[in-house]
Amino acid sequence: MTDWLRRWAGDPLLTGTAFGLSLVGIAMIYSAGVLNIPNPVTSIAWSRQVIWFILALAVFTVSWQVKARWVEWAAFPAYGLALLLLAATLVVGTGAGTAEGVGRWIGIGGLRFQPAEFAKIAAVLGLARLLAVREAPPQGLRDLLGPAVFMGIPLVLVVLQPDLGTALAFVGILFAGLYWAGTPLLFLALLASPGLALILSFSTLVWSIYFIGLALVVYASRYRLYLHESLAVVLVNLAAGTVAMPLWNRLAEYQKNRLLVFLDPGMDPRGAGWNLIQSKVAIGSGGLTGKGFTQGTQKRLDFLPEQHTDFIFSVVGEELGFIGVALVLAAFTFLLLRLIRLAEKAADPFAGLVLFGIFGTWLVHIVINVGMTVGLVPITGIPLPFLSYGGTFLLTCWIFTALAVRLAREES
Amino acid sequence: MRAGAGRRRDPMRAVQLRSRFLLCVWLLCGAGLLGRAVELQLLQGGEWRAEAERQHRTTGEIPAARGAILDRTGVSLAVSHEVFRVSVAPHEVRDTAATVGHLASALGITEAEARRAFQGSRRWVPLPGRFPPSAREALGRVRGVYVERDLRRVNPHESLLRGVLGAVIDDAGTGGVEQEYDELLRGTPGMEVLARDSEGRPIPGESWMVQPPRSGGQVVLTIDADLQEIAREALREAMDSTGARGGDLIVTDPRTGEVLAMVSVVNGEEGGLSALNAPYEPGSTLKPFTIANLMATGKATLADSVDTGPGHWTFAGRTIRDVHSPGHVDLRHALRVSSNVAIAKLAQRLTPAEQYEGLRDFGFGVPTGIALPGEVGGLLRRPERWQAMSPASLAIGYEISVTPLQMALAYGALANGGTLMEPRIIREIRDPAGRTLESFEPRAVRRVVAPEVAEELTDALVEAVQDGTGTRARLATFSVAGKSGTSRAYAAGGGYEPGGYYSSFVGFFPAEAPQLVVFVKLDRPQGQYFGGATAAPVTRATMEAILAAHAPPLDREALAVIARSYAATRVQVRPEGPFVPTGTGIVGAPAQSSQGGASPAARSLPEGGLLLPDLRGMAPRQAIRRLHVLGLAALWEAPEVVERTTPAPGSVVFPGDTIRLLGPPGRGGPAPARGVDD
Repeated sequence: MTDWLRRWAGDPLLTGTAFGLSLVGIAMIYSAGVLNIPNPVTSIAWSRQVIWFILALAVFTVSWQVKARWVEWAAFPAYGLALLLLAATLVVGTGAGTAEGVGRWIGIGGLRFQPAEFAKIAAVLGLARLLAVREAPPQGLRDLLGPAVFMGIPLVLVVLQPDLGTALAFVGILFAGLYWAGTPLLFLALLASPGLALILSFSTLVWSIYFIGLALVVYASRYRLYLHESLAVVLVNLAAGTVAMPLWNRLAEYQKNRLLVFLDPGMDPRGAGWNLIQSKVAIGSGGLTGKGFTQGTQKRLDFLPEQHTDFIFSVVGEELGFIGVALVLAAFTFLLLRLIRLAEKAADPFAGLVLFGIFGTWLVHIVINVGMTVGLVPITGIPLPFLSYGGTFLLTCWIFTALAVRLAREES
Repeated sequence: MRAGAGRRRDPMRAVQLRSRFLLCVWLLCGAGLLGRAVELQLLQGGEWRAEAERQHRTTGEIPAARGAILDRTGVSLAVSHEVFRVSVAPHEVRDTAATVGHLASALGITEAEARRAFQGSRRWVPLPGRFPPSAREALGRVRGVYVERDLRRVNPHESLLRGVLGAVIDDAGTGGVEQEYDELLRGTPGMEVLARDSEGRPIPGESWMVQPPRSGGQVVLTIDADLQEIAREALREAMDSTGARGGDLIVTDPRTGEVLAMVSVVNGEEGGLSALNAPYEPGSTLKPFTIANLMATGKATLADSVDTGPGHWTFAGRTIRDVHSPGHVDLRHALRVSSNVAIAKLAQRLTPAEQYEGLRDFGFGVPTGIALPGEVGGLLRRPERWQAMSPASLAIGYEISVTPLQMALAYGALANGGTLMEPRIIREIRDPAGRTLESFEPRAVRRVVAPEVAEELTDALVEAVQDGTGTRARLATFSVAGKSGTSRAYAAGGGYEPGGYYSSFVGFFPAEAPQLVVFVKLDRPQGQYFGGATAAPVTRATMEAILAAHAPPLDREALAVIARSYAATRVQVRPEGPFVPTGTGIVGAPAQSSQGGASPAARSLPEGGLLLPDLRGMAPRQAIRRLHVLGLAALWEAPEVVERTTPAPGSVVFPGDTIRLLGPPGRGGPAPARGVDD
């Protein structure tokens, strides 16, 4: 019996942690539906999540039997298919549930799924394949250009949906992959610098200081960079700093609000600041031991927004308290730790790159999601792996788990 | 030298370093998140909990039951009842059809009305209207249906006293006693803490009382509900028969200044207090005070004679007329026939200061201070602002405006031996448990004239009723003192309204020891408009009805004594005949109601005797009123309809006899009550 279970799980520690987190997720989604004035959508969400969970387990069981070679072979076709689906979503995508207004879903028959989620898998595999064929680690910024463009295409397509949160996951995959491939931190920093410049450009003073610092760093690294690379970095940063405002003006109102509210949550407590404040109130009022399962007042009385999807962690914080928060974070730590262990053991660079792609994805999801619920990161609408309600997302998490288990096993 | 060469040197070492680094990245992030959780949950937990409570706990007021308003005998005039609001949360309802059925049967609404709550996408639908406590019992446990308590002000005697009571609008007393005693009646609301959701909806069942509400105190009025009803009916009837568009009727007790009944109708609508906020020119009803003034200052006696000449007299450019010139008359006669010329001429003996002060002392020109909102003082100009004709105008009730209440109180002063009483509408105020907090004793304002003056004047006013302009206020059993008045109504745009008159009559009885003052004013009666013709019968009807009622404010014993002596002095009870103007200002009017009299076929009757009319089939009150007109007393034993009387109809009876009104045979007592006093 245990033997059978061990065989099924592949890696009992990883699969077991994922399983446990999924069950906690279902329990919290159930609790999220227990409202004082029940809502027909949220009150049955948990049962739908159970169905997706069963489906995810089935997919897991099948997909981790797939040979690693096939996975490697399928990486580029999957990447191409993902790009097609993402492009299609921009045309025929529809909204759903609490994200009624944005076209993130695509329906085939009666099934609705989020192509962006599958694109993450495809991107992890594609990037791993792209980097695995290299003989040597990237030697210059020029070598990073290819992978950056490779990830940039799906990223832009997802941003256009618009789904800023999921797009950030692609950034996580890219950086985790590049780093694992041996890219020096300096190059990664320079790669990230335009994005940083974009953010810092809101304050001319801060941006100016940053820019001078950047110029010094580039100058100090002059022997490790070609002149045109140095120039490119400086120019791109300059451009990012100057085009930021026009770009800002093109953001959707709610996106602007989210950023602004992060900078000043008190500016509009009943409007755009609502989510942030309510999440903090819910978690903070949970205290050490919480208010008890299903007993969270902020959730029950409909103060907490999107409590079964993006803000499921707030329900954990309110009802299970600091103990619950610490346990969930510990479980995630264990999950990520296990991924790193498996990656270390993987002799095959492709396997290691896929495992770190998964690591990067989950890291971004966890840090941004939990970070936004506790008010450390702007509200970006990104789900928490295994816990948040969402069929495609749960399925994606379990396919990642299956890939991790499969590829980790390959070396032995 | 490029970085990254390390991998070539020792691949395993590089892999380990990188994985350590990535692990550190997570641990750093994770530590940041955990640290934040420590900050929010452990360090600031209390603050956030307080914030959460502040958000979803709200303190609510528990409305206090508004105190009752009672009449002088303890009859509830206005009380607060518990009612219930019913709301539906359609999302919570599982079986819509069953819930609709529940609502319909419990609330007595149609299923279609109940179903309306489930149409549309609203999450909280209050049903219109308020429902009795049975709603809570029936619906308290139905899923998705919420029943909340509310308090409603109800007037058990619908609209009986609307003007005096006022109303409660949005929990605030508006008008009348409700406004004047709002603070006392309102009580102190209690406090409760209740849970509400993000849309501010209270969560039923999640509330904690912090401080119980304290009900409001009670106000006991001097009003007598029975008298009020009588007054109201009398005024309504008079409006119907005269076509008047409004009027005021006030009944006061002259000995105490208590207002026993007060009705005001303005343009067919009750609810106002025109008795205290709508001054008018009183006309002839003011003449007794001019005369009182003359007598009190020693400028004239009732025996002083005056020549009215041709029936008109021009003074300072204004011509004062009498309809018929009474010729050379004494003041007593002049009052009886209400001669404008005679009284205006005699008033010349008064200095303006005397005239002004005299009227002022009777309470004109200043608010009476009654405990009701909105009272006005009327207009009585100071002598320095008078014009040349003012003394003459004032003498006969013009160039002065008074409120009906002022007039009733001024007559009360005459009835009360010359002492003006403060008006009282509130008898006492009580705490919620009914214990008296404060009771208001009668208070005299001032002695206006000497008792002898008041007495003489009362006699003269009795004559005015017996033979003068007020004959239609006459009562069979008691002598009534009173005076009629007719004055022109103001037009909306200023000046007088053509053809618009106020007819008024103020009387008190019994004249020997007055117990009631009845003031009647009709606003623009159609056709016949003289006060003696239109208002006086209302006074009489009111007095008769009061005598027939179980009216507590009356001193029955004293009345019985007076009635006996009155009957003895009268040769014959004169039934109501056609109204014959006996003096000035009155144009003959045909009498239309002969039902009040038992036309005495005086053929073979013993002296003073009369025939008992057939009262069978009448309502008791109607029958009693009829008997009182004839000077007879009644013993009321018929529950609803008079079926028999003892003695039988057609029997010879004498004023003062008691007639028994009986129900169906076998239910009344057998013995005839002839000659029995009550």
